[in-house]
Amino acid sequence: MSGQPAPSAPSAPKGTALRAVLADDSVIFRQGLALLLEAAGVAVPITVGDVPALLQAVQTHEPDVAVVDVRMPPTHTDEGIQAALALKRHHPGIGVVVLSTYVEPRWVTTLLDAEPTGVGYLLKDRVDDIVGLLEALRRVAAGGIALDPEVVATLLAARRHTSSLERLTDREREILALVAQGRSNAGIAEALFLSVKTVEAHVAAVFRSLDLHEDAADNRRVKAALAYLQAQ
Amino acid sequence: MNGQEHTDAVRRTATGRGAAAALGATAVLIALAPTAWVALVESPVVLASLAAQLVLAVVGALLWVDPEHRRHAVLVLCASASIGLSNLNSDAFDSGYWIEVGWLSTWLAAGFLVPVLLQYPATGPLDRRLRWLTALVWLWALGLRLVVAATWDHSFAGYTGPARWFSLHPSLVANRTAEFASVALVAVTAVWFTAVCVRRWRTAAGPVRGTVRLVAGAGLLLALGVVLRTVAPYAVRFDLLDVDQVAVLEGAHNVLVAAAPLALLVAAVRAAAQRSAVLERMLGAAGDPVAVEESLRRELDDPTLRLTFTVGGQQVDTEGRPVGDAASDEETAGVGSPPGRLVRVLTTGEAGPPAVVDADAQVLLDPARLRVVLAAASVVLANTQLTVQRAAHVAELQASRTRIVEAGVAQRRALERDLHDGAQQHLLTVATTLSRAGLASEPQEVRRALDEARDQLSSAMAELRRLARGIHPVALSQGGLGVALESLPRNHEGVTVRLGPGLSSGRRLDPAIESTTYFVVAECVTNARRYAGTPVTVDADCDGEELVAVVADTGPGGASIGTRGGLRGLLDRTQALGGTLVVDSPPGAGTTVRLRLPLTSGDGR
Repeated sequence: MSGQPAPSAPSAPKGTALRAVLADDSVIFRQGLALLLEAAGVAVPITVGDVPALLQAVQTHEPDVAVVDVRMPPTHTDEGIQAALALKRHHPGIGVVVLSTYVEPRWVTTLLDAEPTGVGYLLKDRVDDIVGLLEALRRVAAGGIALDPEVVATLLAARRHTSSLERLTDREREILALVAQGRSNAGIAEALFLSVKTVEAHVAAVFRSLDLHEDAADNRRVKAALAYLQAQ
Repeated sequence: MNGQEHTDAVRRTATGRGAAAALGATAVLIALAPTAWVALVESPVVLASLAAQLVLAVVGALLWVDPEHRRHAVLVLCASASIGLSNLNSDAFDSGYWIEVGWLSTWLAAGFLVPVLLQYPATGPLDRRLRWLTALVWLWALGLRLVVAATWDHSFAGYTGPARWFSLHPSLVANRTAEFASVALVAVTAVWFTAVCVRRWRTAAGPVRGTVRLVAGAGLLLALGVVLRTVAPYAVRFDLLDVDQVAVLEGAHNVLVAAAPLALLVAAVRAAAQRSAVLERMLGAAGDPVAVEESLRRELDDPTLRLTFTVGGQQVDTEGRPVGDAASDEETAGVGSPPGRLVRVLTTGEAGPPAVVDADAQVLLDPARLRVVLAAASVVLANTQLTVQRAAHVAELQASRTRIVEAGVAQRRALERDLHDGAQQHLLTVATTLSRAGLASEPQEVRRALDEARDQLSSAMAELRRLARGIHPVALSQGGLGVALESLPRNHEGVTVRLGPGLSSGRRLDPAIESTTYFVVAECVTNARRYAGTPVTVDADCDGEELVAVVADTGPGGASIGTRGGLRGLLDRTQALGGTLVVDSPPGAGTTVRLRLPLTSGDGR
């Protein structure tokens, strides 16, 4: 997202500082990320390198959010996704953000099907956009959903030429993408420099033309939008 | 399989065979005499018995042809002879004890025929219950007859003619009791025997179905005939039938008893006819292993039958594909067959490949047919050596090509993972640090973060360089094989490289040969460092003809080229260039891998 406004200094978190634990088997990356998050005002009590250590760390430190690498020992395949599901089972209150280097919609579906609240799937590239990263962490910690714009864009591109998507205007498609990323109407309004009322009208129009049921709850409308985008 | 021993055994059997055949023929001829005499002098009814006797003699002769059925042949010939003996029981032989001998042999033929009817075309010992049945038949046919004869005296019937009767203890009571017991026994055994025949008829299946049914039918006819003949005199005695009706019954008996040998004759003739047809049909498949296997399945009615060949020490199927655990297959072929299966080694002559047939044990139901079919297969397989070798070669080529492609895919996957988990993590860390620099408010903090980022960037570069070297070392493309091999000790500890004059001169070879050699040697060095952990030596040299590279360690040994895995992949790559890769790795004595590649491209590559 190149059009982001310059970081208006690390906006001090409202209320208490966000607490995050990090799990990644690459030591240098997780240390770098911890330093970055701390510089941005997030408390990082511990960083770990594998799944058992992560479960232990969450038990001990009770963070607001766990940031988990998707590929970890022993098989380096989808341990992060499995760990996220296990975490949500044992600690439904905390948010889990899976970091990955892959645009892999299948994992996103797995994650959202099992856990419709307080989860996120972001590309590691987001470390260069600390504001966006912080916003996503906060949203997930508060029980929302955060999906990487690139993952959503991929889904959208795959469905580009279906008739119903072609009927949408460019602005409407933009709004649909932001909805699918997990943003609230207020969040969308902020990102697009529109009024919340305008956004509400757009969202309603999009859902009508796609024949989707517009639900008041943000998470459910994310799922509806994603399900629509992934339908074959 | 010892050929000499086998031939000797055949010769011995052949001599014994001739003698036995002569003996049998003599016995039949002698036994024919009384029948002929009675037929001419006494009564034309005896002609039925003469016919049965002749038919059985022919059946015996036909069965004799199959070594497997020789025991059956002897029994059938004995039956034929005893029918002749039974005709001595006639007024035409009213001097001496002839009549008694004839009377005693009345049912001997049944005793001889029953074991054949219970089993043919199968051979070997009867199972326990059927042995009991046979014993009961003999008890009735001979045992009780002896008792009846020993307690009889001509005076009981008021006979005063010239014929004599040998008697041990004349007693009318004992005589009648034994006779009654004999009738009871015939009822029991006839029912039992009939039940067995019916069961055989109903369960008959596969290629032996027709034969088994013929023989079971013959058994039923025989049982019926015997029962009629035994019951008829009692029917007269108790006034149930008059004499004329009994004459009809006895006529029926004669027809039935003659029909049984006829059924056997049809079965034996059919088997002989099929035998020549088998060879004819198999000849149609000559030269084509797949067709031979197909014919074998058809002839033996066994769709599970497998035909395999030994090519280059490996067991391959008819299409040249290697089949599992060839070694153990070969072992079973020599020692015996697994339960439920029959494994036979076919000797296909010097020009033929050693072949192994693995069939369902059911084919043993007709051992004579099995032998004929396998012999025919041996004949038509004699000129399939080239076909099988070519098929095996093609199959191996296909398999190795698949493995090379798979290895390529695996390599790309490993590379992808190296990029993602190695280089990309490093670069992401740089991005993280730069992000942090953007957050810093103090210039000093910014400078520190930028320094960090520079360090992280240079380790990312080092990682990328390491990765590139794994794909294709720069030394190989720039300096050639010699230089690349000499660079190995820089990346692996404990490695000594010694180059011969053919390589140390900086000579350049075909790029495929250079990269294959480097890849194989580097892989062997990595393996040796990983598994042996001892110092590794690499010796390499080439002359005008070929390149030789030897990688040796002094570790635990025990390495081998399996069907998959690293060494197999190296072998595939070597063979793709027409080279060889030999692994010498006795347990406890280190591992030596010897690579040879021809410099002139062979195989039209």
